[in-house]
Amino acid sequence: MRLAALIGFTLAAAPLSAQQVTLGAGFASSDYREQADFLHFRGAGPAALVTVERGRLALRADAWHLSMDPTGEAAAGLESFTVDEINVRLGVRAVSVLAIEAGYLRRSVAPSRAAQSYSAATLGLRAAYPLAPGAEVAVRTSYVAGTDFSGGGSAPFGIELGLSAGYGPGSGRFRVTGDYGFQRIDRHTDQNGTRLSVPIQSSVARLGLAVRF
Amino acid sequence: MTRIATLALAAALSIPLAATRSPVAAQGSATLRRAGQAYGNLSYSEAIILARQASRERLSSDDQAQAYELLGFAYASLDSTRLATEAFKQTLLLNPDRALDAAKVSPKITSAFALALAQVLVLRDLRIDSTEFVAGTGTLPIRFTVTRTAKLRTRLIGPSGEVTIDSALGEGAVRLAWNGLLSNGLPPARGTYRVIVEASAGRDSYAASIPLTIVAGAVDTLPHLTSLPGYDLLPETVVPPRSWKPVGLALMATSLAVGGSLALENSKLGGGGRREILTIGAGAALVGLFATLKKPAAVPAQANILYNSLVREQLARRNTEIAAQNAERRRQVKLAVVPEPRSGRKS
Repeated sequence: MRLAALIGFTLAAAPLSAQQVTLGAGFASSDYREQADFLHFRGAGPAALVTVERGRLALRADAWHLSMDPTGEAAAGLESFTVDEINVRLGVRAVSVLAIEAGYLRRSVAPSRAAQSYSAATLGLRAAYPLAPGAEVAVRTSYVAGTDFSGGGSAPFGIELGLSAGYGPGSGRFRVTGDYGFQRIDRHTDQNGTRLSVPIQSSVARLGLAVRF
Repeated sequence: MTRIATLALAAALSIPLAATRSPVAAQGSATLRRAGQAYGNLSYSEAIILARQASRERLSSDDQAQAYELLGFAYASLDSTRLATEAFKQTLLLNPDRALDAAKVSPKITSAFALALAQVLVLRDLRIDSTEFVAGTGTLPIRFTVTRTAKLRTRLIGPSGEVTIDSALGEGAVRLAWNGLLSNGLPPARGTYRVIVEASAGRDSYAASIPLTIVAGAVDTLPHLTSLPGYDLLPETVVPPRSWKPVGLALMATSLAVGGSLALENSKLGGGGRREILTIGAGAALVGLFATLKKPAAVPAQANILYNSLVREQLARRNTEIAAQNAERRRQVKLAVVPEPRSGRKS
């Protein structure tokens, strides 16, 4: 709710004439692993994105809803679940193609016992290369910090990698977009004084259509 | 013998005068015509008598001048220089622009004529050329010759006023310029004006004038410029040549993402979802390929933009100057001056 208010405030604060808005929708596919290689899930679902750019500032919000099913040899004993994830990143272009991004992500799992729900802050870099009118490719990486897990524990190290590409005819007002996000969070828990490593790793690919206006 | 030779030489040198001016043939006076015939027959004494008789008749100014000139020629032919000079002085007073061609006329005659010219006070060759000029800015050239040192006063008189153009001592060829303004500081209205030159030296004085038609009109204004001649504007954007840079960038970005993902996979989790990175990586490479094949976007040509801004700046500056000039020109008056035949008189 607070996140929605933040996005709404940011959108309303910028005059429409001075900003460029991109709306997109598509399909997401994900691979999720947790704790050990037997906890392996795959799933898919709808995804959406909103981008507002104004001058050197860019606000990006991505969200997707995935239905994850266990896969692999241990799948029979595992429970399916759904994931709702939202990522909000505010970027400031520092030099020609390079922007500094600060963000917030929230991942909600239902039922909660099936996998970890967590929220975290991110801080990283994004390099976007305009290739031609209506064509762009971007890479990004972020440090994931302050992760708050529903099952407890902490993650001193977390990192994200991303690859984005978009192509559209003409000036690219309408374009096909593809995004890839890789996330590794080295979660640790403390059980009866024993420090346990329960890492989380996920990758999400999204394909969609976007319109810029 | 010497006398005969001299007369023959004088007659031979004098023939061109008759041939060039035909003083007799042009006359309405029979006496003057007979005087000319007598001079042609080398009967100088008879020519003198007849010319004197003709000069006392009621002749036109031109005929009178020719009668005195014939008298001067005859006296000079008889070596009577003083009388020849007096006769030529009368000729010059009646026709101040009269000149003898030294190549065709006897030196005795031309020397007597030159002597007369040095003694008489006349204004010769008063000339004003047809011209157009802006009052107060341009000038109307006035030139004449005064035969002796004299106090000269040059004026312009007409229906809308007068002005003294110059007042000074002068001798020989004199060149003056009128700035197109009357004594009240305003340009003259359309009309017929007269430039009067008065010369005075001791008891002698002479005045000559030349009528002018002056037409006052508006000064042409300058058109505003839409471009500077020789400085065409250049295109401010240029389409760069096709390059493989887009596909190179896309492959580099894809390689970074793939390599980073593989390097960061947690071995405890048994690798990651490579299907996702391979799908999006292939898509990114494809985008790079499409971007390479796509017509490159026009990019700003900074040098041309700078050049164009300088040209536009110069153009604006020039048009500002033209506007200022036109504002000045709208306040100005252009004078068209056409001279008419002049007259002269002795007083």
